[in-house]
Amino acid sequence: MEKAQVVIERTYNAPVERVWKALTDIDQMKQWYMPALTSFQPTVGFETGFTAGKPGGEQWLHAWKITEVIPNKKISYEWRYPDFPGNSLVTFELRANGDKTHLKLSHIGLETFEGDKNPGLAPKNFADGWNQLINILLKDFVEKVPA
Amino acid sequence: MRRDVFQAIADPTRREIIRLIAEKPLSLNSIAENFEVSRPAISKHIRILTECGIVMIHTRGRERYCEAQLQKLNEVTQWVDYFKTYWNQKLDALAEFLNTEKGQAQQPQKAAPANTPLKKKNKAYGKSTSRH
Repeated sequence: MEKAQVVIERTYNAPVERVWKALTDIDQMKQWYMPALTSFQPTVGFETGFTAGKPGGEQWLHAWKITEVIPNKKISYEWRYPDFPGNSLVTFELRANGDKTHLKLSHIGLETFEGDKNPGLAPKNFADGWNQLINILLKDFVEKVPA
Repeated sequence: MRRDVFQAIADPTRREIIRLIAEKPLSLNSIAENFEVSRPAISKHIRILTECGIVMIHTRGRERYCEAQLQKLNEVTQWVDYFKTYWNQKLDALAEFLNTEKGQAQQPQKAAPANTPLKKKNKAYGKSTSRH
């Protein structure tokens, strides 16, 4: 069954331990990823909340909850907006490849977010959204995203 | 069974039905006329579309009219689009970060003895691969 999800794979020119640290050490995470982070521990069950959004734009309350941790290999956490319905899951998976690291990011469950209850991300233009769906996204999801 | 918009658009007949009723509501019979498949088969597709929240059925006289609820499709694609952009930017930022002195200096001590200059990494790594 097709789902609303984002999957991105990259290869980084750094050893797996260093990528893992960038993904799980709060001081490092704040530098490249989530400056608004107030606390973070790569431990199953750990929960954190913070306010973030577009710089100078609308801000949303975020809540993360860690669901899986395999050091240097995999970390998953729930990502939701407590003020709105829905809950998604972010997973980073790492695989050493010599001195390089292959990273696979997946963000699943995006279909559970209801745009009409979140004015910040509600559809701005009906026609644009529809054309985009037909021309680009539909193709992406139906043909490329694995069921 | 849980229904969602992605199940709705997974089938070519259902995509065609959505296209047909996107402009204006149509009766079940008018929709069925556009397809080779049987009327019950079309009814089944429309039932799935209503369960997914893509189609709303109104009864007018003796006819049942199908109206597209495209708002729901737009909502989902906007979220996916938003996060696709977001994560590509963040993963670029991670590459930049890993390339900085800081990202390297915070390695375990043995990896970078105090008086040894850190090796500069090639700036152009990792970005051209696996962008879809």
